[in-house]
Amino acid sequence: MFLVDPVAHLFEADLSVVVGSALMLADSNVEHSVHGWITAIYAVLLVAMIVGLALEEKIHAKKSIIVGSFAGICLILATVLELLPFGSVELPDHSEIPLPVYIPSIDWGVITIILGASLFVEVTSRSGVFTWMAILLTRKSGGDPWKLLIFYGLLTVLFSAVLNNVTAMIIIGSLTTVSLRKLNRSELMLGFLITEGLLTNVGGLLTLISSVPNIIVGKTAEISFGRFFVVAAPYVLVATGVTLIMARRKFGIRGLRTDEEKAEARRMVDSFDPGESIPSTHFFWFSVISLVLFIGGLAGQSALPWGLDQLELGFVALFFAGVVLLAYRSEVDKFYSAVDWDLLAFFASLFVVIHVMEHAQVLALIGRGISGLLSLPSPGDSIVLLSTSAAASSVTDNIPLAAMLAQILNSMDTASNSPYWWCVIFGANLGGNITPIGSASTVVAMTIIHRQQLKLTFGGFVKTALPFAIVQIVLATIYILIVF
Amino acid sequence: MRDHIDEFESMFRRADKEQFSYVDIPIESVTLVSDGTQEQAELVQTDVQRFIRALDSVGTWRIIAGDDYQTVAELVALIDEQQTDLLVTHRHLQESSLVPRHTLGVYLDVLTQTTSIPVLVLPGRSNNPVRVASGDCDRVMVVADHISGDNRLINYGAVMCREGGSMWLCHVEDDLVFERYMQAIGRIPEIDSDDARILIENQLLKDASDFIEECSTVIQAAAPNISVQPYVGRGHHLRDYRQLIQDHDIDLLVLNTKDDDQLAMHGRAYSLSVELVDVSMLLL
Repeated sequence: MFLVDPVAHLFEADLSVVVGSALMLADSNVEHSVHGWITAIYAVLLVAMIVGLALEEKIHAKKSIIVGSFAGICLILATVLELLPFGSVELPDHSEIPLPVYIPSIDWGVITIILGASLFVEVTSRSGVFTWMAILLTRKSGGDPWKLLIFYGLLTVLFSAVLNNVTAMIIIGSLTTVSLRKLNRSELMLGFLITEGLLTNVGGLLTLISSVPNIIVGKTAEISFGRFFVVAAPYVLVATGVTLIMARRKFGIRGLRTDEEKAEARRMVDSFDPGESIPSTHFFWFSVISLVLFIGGLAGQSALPWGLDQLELGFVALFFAGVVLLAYRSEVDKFYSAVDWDLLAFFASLFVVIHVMEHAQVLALIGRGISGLLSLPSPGDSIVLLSTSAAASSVTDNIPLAAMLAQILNSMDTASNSPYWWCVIFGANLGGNITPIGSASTVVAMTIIHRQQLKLTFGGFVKTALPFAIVQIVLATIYILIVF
Repeated sequence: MRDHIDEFESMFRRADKEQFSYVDIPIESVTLVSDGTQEQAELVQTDVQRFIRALDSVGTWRIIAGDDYQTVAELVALIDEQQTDLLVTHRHLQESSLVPRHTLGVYLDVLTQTTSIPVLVLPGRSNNPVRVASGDCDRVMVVADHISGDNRLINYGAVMCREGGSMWLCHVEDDLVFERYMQAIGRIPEIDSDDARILIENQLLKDASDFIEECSTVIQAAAPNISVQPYVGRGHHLRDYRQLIQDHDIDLLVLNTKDDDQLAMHGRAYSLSVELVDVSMLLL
């Protein structure tokens, strides 16, 4: 299945031609010429926005406010400088409707996937299905630390894939602190939490909807849900196994040896009652069935009959969110308020910024830089693209990075089966494991670590996590080179 | 984010339930402390053996009669001379001339606090005892402020209960304490007072109910002839227990008296043991 793709080879062979035409294409999107100083101003604005996002915690401002402010500045400046094409928007039936210029800039497909999936996860998690699984596996481990690490590691990957990285880290991290305290093994807590934090970003690679960079890049590259899973799953499996083995050695996590130890640990974990997390058996099973159908719906979206596939993934996500919300029809407002509106507003603003940047020729400028990287002989191009994506996403938000790179690769007319898309996907996800601010889930891991009064500095995290991240990134590079 | 972490931590802590372990407590030697004569004490011993079947088969009975000691220190020294698993005595030893009320008497006060040996206090007072031989001890009530996790107390209750008898496991959440916390919460704008009242009450009662249910399952498996009855509620400690004892015609009350933070018996146990003089009590 993962033999070398002839189309990819063709793509690589004609890279210079493709890059050249891509840049021409990028230029053709902007109908008027742009002075160099305008591009420079916008490039500075882009850098300022990225720095602002990196310093989010320091400047005490949410992502949506930071990017929203830049979107506003970019729009005003672009209007004054006459960069944007104002006018009606043409629909597929050739009719025209008047829309504010910033509305078509937003990729509503991405927004609806995130909104639908967030609502669906919020409702189904109330059924206790995820906490039930977590407690059940805690009991199955018999309180053995090594088995517990394996189970929690696998659950982290699974939850990151099905839910989102942050929720996965919160659920497994919380259970880790409670169960290890119960087992009087608090000394292992730091190792467990770091490992789980690192595995969220590995699990975030499993499906198209597991992380936002996946959604953005996957959708731009027109990678289907099923194709994404088939390509990503073997890597996730190997990387999870390697990470767990490294964690065992690094943090000295050993299995129980004597029968007395095993009996005592078994007695302690047996006090966890999985049924306690289920408020209603009826809703529990309803959620389980919905979850299976939801994943099935996403996986089979492209094969939906009667032209329903044209409604796209976002509709599938919103449809299932609507179905599960019926169970709480009188209190849906509670779930609406739980939606991460900051994230959605951040996206909407980000798309506006990127749209303006495109018109200001900033993306073409970055594209030229990237085309330099991609002109390296294979496999140097993939290695460099993946490594630089990882390095960049380790210090700043991986979402703008993924969005910009996706847009640039798209403007370069990159083929859907090109390894470049996967370099960006793997790099943007795994780069989050290098520093504690590299991804939202490692930030959560640090929060739980500090909540438990465990000492771990920024430097301490990097020192501990870097070997894991390097191994994961090297594995990803080798994997991409083998598969594509 | 911290809210979410806390939410899940609470969820997992709630799923961690107290386990009950049934242990058959061996009682091989009993010391009966009396302020009467040896013969009077032997009569009491016979009554007690009839009353609690588990004590009928005890190998060693030792009697400390009224003439054997004059002071608390002497009594404590006598008890310390020989290992014993259970003390049996009355309230107000050696205080017949004092017309005592509202205390346990100086001897019993000290015995409950200076030794770790359980004390079976017989009903009535030393100068006016109530005989226990009239019926078997088949209706035992275990009293706990925080019954959850109190294995020792419940195991003693099970030992003292006759086969075929009933054991009430009771938890009364004190209204006064609860309302005091609710008043404090009512003054904190960040906490919804109505939600807090319902959630805290439910959780307090649920912890006790869950543990009693667990006890019932374990005891049914280990000692199937004892029927476990739950009582969990909010109310006034003394008044509710008095009512429960009356309603269920309780033969023996089992309660904790030790307080980790002080030498004196803890408040609620003291009030129960002083006020409820007509029922036998096992003080741990």
